[in-house]
Amino acid sequence: MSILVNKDTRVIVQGFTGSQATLHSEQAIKYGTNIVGGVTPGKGGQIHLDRPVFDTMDEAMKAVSPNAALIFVPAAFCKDSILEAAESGVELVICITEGVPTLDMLMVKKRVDELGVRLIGPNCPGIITPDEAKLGIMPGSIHMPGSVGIISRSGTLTYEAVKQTTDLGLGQSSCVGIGGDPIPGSSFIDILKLFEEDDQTEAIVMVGEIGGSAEEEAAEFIKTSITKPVISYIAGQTAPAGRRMGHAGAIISGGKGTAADKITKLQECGVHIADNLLEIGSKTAEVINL
Amino acid sequence: MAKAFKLILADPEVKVVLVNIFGGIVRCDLIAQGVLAAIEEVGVSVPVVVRLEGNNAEKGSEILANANVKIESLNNLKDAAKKAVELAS
Repeated sequence: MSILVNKDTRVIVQGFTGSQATLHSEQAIKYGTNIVGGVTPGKGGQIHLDRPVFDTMDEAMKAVSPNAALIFVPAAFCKDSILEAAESGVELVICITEGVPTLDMLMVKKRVDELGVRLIGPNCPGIITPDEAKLGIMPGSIHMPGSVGIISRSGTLTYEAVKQTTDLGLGQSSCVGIGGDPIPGSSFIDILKLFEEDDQTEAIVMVGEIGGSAEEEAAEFIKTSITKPVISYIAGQTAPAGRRMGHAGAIISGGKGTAADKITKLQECGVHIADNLLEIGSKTAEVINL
Repeated sequence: MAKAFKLILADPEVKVVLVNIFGGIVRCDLIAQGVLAAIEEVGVSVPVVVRLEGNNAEKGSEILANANVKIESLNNLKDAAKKAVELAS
């Protein structure tokens, strides 16, 4: 098993004919992902990467019945694309784009929750289930099927955790980048629940960072509802207060959201802490073999 | 890349620059070329340590090794960090 995506996931790519979408769709197809078509308004009827292009999600739904949408449209259009996907009937929407206005996300988040559609991102690397499906921009080659579920707010830090768990022979069940924005479609808690229920996942790695309170909320949830071991690394241990560190949501504001506070809270709730980015893999191996 | 170097080096306290790249989709050979071009353009006088991992990492390291400029190139972050600290002190 795995979570959210597998070889049977039928993927539609929104913004399909754009340069970023083309590059990453090519890689995803090469990886074995079942991309069934794409949507680019005004380009319906064309064939791109050997797959049909549609003007709207509704047309795509009627013709190729996708169950997941992968979005590569510019930030200003993401609100419309996400809502169009959510209302078309797909179960899962993944938005890779960075820079979606927070106000747009307020509205989007409310609507997708009402519709019961799962949104991952925006501003995220996407989701991969090793050797089955890659819905995102991560390098496929560093992944290996295995027992560790990875959830992260950061793309590159996910890759570090992935490479380390691969090098140690642990591998991954699925890896989910929830994104670095202040209002993500899915939280750590949403994904923790899925890994808890997934048989293949033996341990969960949660890569967090400064800013907000998602890690603290996840810590409480882990304490009460997660039976599998959770290993966490928090980025930004030396971050100065008041400065945004790369991600829109990565900011210590009013003294809140520091790495130290998050680590203390996680430890109190029984989460294993990797003190150093380079120890995520070894800490995970240690915890699994306890 | 040149812009990033300019921003970092605007702080006179900077004694060494550590470039850490995990090439996901980005190719490390492109990054290596970018680093070289940036160093030339900006005129970097402090030591530069580059860690390349991922896509085409070996090719990238090779480009840096054969460059006229002196750059420490490593593919392990721990070693790269150690090297940077060593060069800074």
